[in-house]
Amino acid sequence: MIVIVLPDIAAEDFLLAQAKQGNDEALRDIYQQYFTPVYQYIRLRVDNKQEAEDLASEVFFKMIKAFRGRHAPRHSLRGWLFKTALHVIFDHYGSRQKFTTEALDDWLPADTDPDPETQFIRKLDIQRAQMAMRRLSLEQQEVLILRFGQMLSLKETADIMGKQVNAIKALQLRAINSLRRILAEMRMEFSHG
Amino acid sequence: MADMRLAEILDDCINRLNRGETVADCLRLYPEYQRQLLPMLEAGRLARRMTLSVTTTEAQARVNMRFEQALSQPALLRGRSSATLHLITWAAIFILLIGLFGGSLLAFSQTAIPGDTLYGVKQWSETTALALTGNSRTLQEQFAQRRIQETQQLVKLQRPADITFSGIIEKIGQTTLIVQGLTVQIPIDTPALAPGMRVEIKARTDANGAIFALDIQETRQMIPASATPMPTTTPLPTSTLLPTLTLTPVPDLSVMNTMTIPDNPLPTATLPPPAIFPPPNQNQPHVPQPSCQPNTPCEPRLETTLLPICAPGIAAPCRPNPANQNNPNLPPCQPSGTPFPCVPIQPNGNPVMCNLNGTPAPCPPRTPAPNTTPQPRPMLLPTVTLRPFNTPPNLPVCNNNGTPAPCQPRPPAPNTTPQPRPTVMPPTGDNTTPIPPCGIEKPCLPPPNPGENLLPNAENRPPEQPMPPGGNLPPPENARPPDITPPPSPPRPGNNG
Repeated sequence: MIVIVLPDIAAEDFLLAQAKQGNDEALRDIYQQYFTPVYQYIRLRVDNKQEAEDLASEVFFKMIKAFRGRHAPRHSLRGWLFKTALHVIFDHYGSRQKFTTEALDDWLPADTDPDPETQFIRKLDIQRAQMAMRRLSLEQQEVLILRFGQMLSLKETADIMGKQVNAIKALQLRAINSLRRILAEMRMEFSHG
Repeated sequence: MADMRLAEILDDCINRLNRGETVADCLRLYPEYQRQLLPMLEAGRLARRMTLSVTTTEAQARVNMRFEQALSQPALLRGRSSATLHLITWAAIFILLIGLFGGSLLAFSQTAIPGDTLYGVKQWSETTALALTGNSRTLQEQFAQRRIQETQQLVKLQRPADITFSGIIEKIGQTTLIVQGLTVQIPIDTPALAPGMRVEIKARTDANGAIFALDIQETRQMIPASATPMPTTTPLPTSTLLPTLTLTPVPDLSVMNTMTIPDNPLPTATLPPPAIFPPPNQNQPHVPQPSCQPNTPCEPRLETTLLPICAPGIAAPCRPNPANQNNPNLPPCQPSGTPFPCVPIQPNGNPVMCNLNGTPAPCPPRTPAPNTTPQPRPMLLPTVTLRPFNTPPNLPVCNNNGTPAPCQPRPPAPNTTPQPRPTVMPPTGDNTTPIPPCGIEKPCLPPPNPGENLLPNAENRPPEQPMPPGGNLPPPENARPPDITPPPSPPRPGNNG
């Protein structure tokens, strides 16, 4: 069962205000709360686990500097962290970096469903899912990870990706349809042998 | 259009999933899109499943240490320090620019003249400087001089502009004034002005380099250092220099306030010599001079008419004395309460004052007065030199009470040339005594008193006139004996026809 931890906006704003006042405890809380999504976001883009850890560390170093300097986030702490992670990845690998080809650690088993496509998707293992995602464009991968994987809002995603909200709506629809097409092809290949 | 609708529905469903709703909840909301939405949402959840498949426990354990180290690292404080330094740097640059720009602006404005863009800055800086220094007199003089220079520049450049300057009127013509060297055209209806007046002139220069006065106001606010100084209060003579009533018995002086008493008998027998008379002091700063020009009639001075008539060195009664308070004919006393000395004579032997009736007396050339305003009463300092009787003076000998002796009228035009020494004949008791030529009243020398030495010291004595053993001066040649009664008033030639 997937447990979804919804972001608490009020708690996030409180942490943001405390961190701006130089409260180190607030910075620790932010780190504890946001390390996992940030690391997961980076890990999906980076082949090497050690590099993902380094990049995640750099994101939080930048956070400490920002709060102690004059570049602290004014709002949407979560969006600021993902945007920083995206910049760190780009700084490290360049903008052509796609999802990792390395096998992920875990994969959730699929539930039974009458729809063959849905059944196929739910039964798809992590390797094949990764292969399908890698066939998407970078923007399509990004919008799916942010909107579905990190459950960011349309506005946050638009801010991170530097696009308009309506552009993100259209982009996420195209990304889903592309993924469905790729999965259909994979299913055909799978069914044929 | 259909894609846009589907994009909206997909976005709404993603938001619902992110808020914790299920895929079934979303499909129930959009049943007509159920067949499209289900695989789309499952494909999207694939990304979610991929994300959640990433385990972070070990990674977080390793990164925790780095994070704590970074949190405790003062090096990361450089962000704030550098930001502060950044701010300070920019502030310093800003202040420097303001200082340089403002200073340059002020410096450039100091050479501005009316009509220049920076002239307002110059005026503002002057106003500020005066305010900061409490209207410093030196600065006022300096700025007044600047206005003169600016006006000169405007005239030289032939630039039309309005300007206000102040200065001393040096010369007045029919339609012009010369103020501080500037020739100013004045309107016909300009009120009476006089040389020496200090005026403030609002003027306008034209393209021909002329200055036209728009308004002229007399002012006494400030006197430039170069201008003729206004009369200042002369230090009062000390009481020791003045004869006092207590030390000098005063005869009946009621008759001494008039000058036309040549026939009065002279109280020579009862006139005591001055017991104390101030010695001549060559360093006294000021001796009143008659205000007349050479060869022109004297202008009777106000203070002259107020002088008491008395014997030299003998104090006259004055008004503050309780006994004389109701006598308006008496002159006011000095601030010290003592009367003014009588008829002082300058060391050079020339009498100091005009006659009381305005007839000219020998006087030095008149210097331009600083203005025409009534001058304060000058202090009559007892800086006198008693002339020995045997010294040939240019004056007739007075009667013993200090009034001029009868004399022959002379032409009204005065001059500063020394008058021929009148021949004073010893009294013979008749009316044929020669009368020296003079005005109606003239300064005169007091008659000698045989019992007293009127010379204050030996330096004033001519070397060729040694002091006799008895201490009395010998009577001068052709002088009247002091102990004789005055001759009867001779008939004046003018009066006799």
